[in-house]
Amino acid sequence: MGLFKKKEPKQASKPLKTASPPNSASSSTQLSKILTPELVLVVPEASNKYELIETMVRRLCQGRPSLSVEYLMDQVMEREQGLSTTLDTGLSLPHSRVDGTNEIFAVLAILPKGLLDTHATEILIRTILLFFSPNDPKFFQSHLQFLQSVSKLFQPALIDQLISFSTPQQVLDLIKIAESAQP
Amino acid sequence: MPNPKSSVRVKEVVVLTTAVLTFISFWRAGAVVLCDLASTAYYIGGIAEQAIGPVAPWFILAVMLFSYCIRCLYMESCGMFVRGGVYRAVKESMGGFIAKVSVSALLFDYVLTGPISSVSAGQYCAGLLNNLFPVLKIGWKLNPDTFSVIFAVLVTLYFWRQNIKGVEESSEKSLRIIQLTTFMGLIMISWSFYTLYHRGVHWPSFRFRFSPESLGWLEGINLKSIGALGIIIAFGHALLGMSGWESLAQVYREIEAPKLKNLVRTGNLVFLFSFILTVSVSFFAVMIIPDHVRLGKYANNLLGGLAMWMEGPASIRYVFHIFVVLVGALILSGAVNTSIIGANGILNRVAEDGVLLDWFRKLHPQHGTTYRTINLVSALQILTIFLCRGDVYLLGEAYAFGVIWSFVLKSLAILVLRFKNTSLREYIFPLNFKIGEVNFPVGLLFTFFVLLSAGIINLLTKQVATIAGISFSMAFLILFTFSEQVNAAKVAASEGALEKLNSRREEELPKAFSTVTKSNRVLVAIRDPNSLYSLKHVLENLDSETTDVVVLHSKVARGFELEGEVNAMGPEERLLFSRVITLAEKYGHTVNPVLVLSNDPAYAIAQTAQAMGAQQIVMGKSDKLAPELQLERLAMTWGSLQ
Repeated sequence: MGLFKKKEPKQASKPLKTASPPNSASSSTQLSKILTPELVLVVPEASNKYELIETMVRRLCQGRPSLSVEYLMDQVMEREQGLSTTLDTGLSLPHSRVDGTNEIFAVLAILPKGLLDTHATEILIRTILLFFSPNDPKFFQSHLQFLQSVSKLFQPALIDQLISFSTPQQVLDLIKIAESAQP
Repeated sequence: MPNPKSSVRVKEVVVLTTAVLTFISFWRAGAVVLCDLASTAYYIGGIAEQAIGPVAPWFILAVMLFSYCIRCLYMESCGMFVRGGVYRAVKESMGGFIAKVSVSALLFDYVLTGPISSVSAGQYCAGLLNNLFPVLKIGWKLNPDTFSVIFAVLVTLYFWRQNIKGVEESSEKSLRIIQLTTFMGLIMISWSFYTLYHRGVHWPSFRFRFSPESLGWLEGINLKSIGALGIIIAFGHALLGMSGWESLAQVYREIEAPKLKNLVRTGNLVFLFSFILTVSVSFFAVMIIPDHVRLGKYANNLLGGLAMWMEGPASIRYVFHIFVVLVGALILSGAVNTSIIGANGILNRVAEDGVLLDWFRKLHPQHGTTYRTINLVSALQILTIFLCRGDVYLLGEAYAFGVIWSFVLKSLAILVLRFKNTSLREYIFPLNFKIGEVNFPVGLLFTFFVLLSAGIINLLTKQVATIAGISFSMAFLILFTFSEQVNAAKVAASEGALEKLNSRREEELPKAFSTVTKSNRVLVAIRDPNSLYSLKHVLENLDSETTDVVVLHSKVARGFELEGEVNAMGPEERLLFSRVITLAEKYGHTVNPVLVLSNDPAYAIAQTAQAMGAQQIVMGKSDKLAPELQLERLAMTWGSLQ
């Protein structure tokens, strides 16, 4: 059994009402602060999204014995069965909310040759940002803000630049610049 | 900016522009109702006095006081059904057959409203011209009856054409007419007080004088020995004074929020205005115009006579007479238009229920109006004008048949619904007592019995009205029953009536929101016509002064459907938006319905919200997905579109 316990998401009983549409507040987690060169992969060739996700989970768990690969894989695969996590910008955001953490942790993969999405096969995935966030209702707003901010960050123009790089450090540096340029 | 080449982006935008989505203040609503109701002040005095003698003003007073009960009746009905006219209330309480009877009576009401209003206006114009010709040294004298027939036919033809062309009735126009009428009324009342101050006050007599025509089949009965009967007969002859309340049911759907509060205000406004105007005209006419002049020359032209017999210089009296006739022509012509619209509306309503042959619903090839029903109503009105030969008294007596029996059935319907449907009412007719477990709606019972008594007596005293009314009602009842049989297989069962939806297409989303101008903007995403609780939640808490609401439905279309021609507004979408409009009407808030084609609802919502500048997005919970997943997808698409 993994360290992280699985928790069922609560079902809302009332009409759903969002707060104001999410904005890229400075309080949201900045990607450049949670990524390190070890957590950035440049993948020359990939044929299967789920195999790649497993590779990314294993990279995330390296040097972190408290993290369980099997458990994280179960969580993210379960989430992948729900609504698509791929955007037509070419960014895919497989993720899950898990117990035992109070912050977001992530790993980024750049795919210069792209990978067809399994949900929406007309979309070519060129970047995958796999992340896990705390399964705490109080953190849900921050979770949404993170989703919104990374979706906003990874526009086609940025992705075009990222896939031209060959080293993780180059990728990280560009992400830092792009994040600081955002309002 | 989103990538325009992406296949998941919004491909087509359809904006609904149905006129009913605009709501009006209680002032305008009141003006619309008064254009029908208040116009009776121009002819009720003469009709009532010809029927019952000098006591007429007292009975007009009694009828106008009693009209408060009719006000309460319509308010309870409107509170239960947003489109709470006679047909709906009677159908819900007593079933389809009685509902058809009530509609037949109501149609008789509407068909007669046009002729009595236009003929009366013609009588006023003829009276004015006959007064002016000698002054202008013109040696003409018009036959008022002939002139009024020609005038009435021309007015009816004019409004027939307007309705065929689909020229919408404007509440703005009604408001102006009532403002003008108010001005005229204030002058009339104050000048009348001045006149009475100079000449002394002679109150109308309490003497009855029934004419043979006014007793009908009861002629020969000694009314002195059956006092109450005489009172009911007299009441029945003055009952015309409260015709027009059905317009309140027609206009309620357009009243803005807070709906019930504004309905009460409208009802009070209509009651007070019509009471003051009608009663004062009736009393002052009797108190100021000498009997032989009033009953002769000005029998069909009371206000004109009042203007000519005021105290003061002749020149000013003539000017006021012209003004009175001008206002009369406007308000009475407005009533003609209202009658055609009302009759057409009720025929369309029953046609939607399958109670009228589809043949009648055929739309005009150019104007898109239900021209066959409009033709039918106008033709009946013109026929009536020719048959009456300008006799306002005859028209008034006939008109009362439709008025009284539609009120009788309405009051009975509301009474039955008290026991059949015990759900909480937004407004309840006052005077209700509970003895043990039994509720006694005393106020409603009183109203029903008064109306029923007057209705039954009217059957006996108004021969022409009874024969014409029953024949007309029977003819329409047969038509409705026959139509229902023919349409039996085609009646749309449970969805109810679909709203007439007008729309325009836009290539780009921002162009769809030209009417969204307020500082606060809410986007409500809808999908299921049986599950609009998210919209209901928004409308219940909305401040429409500061907030615009856009209601978005994203129609999923994939692959080739997005690239080729797609019929965006299918039957499911029509039902969905009809329900949206019904909900908006119920709360009296304007909404902006938009339909988009996209293969991803989350993108459609995010793109629409950004295009309109929404501060809030409201969605209902999906049956298939957890809310968190919906929100995550929305957050992602929102970010990617920024």
